[in-house]
Amino acid sequence: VNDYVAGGYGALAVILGLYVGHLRRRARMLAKALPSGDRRR
Amino acid sequence: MSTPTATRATRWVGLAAIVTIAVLLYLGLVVSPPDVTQGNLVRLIYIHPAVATYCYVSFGICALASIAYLWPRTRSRRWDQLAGTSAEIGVVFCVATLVTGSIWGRGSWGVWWTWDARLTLTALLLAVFLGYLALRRTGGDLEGRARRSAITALACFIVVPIDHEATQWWSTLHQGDTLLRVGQSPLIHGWQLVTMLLSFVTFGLIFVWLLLHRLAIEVMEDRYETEGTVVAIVERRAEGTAPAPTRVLVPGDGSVE
Repeated sequence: VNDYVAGGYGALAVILGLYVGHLRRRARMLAKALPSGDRRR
Repeated sequence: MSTPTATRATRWVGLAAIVTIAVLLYLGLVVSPPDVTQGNLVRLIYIHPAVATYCYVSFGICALASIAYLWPRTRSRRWDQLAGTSAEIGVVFCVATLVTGSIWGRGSWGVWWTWDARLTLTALLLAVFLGYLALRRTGGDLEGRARRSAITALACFIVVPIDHEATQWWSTLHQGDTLLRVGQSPLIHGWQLVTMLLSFVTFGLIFVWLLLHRLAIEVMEDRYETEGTVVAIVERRAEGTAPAPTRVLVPGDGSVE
């Protein structure tokens, strides 16, 4: 496996990882902000 | 992902995605042989085309959901939520497509970027859908914003088929289709073909997993925007009726209990 292949797979992992992290933070923030028992309807 | 958006469906899809990712990495990086002309660079074919395909799928779902929203008989806030959600994931996949494609281009063409029709149109696709997401963040009433966004999504989607057909319509540096060639067999065979097909399953699962989580967040955001403030005020007032330490405001040095 050469550097470009490693770079391609690595870059994809970083992009998806950053987005998943962003979604997690957003979901937790909203869950705290919404009144209890009213989060997932 | 232990978050408020996790459900039984997201757990199962997530688990299936992890298993297929592991198998894809094993097949793509270990089992599948190097290509005669591209050597090991061909291993990027197990991520780049699938990511690009789901970028198109995301924007396609956004357009279909926008049509459903604009159609009076099917008009529902859910369609607008699905359109926005799908477009956001499409933008993430579009960025991933451009980045992995650029890395592949540097390895095979010797340049990170060239103003080839396919590359330029993909960059344009990213720009127009970033504009669409920006439009969704503008103020105003929810219904008016949803209608504006749905019309804009349909205008933005025009770029998708042009981008897809760019390699057929113009002479491009970017190669044409590898699997779906009209009247011809795929350009790859054996383990390479199996691995590439698996990549579409894998990224499909990742796409669905992201979509389910993001859709749940969109619903929460809507509730926060429309009801959260009112409910919070009611709860605060209710809290005020319960026995609690009395807070007395004293001029000068703040409050005293």
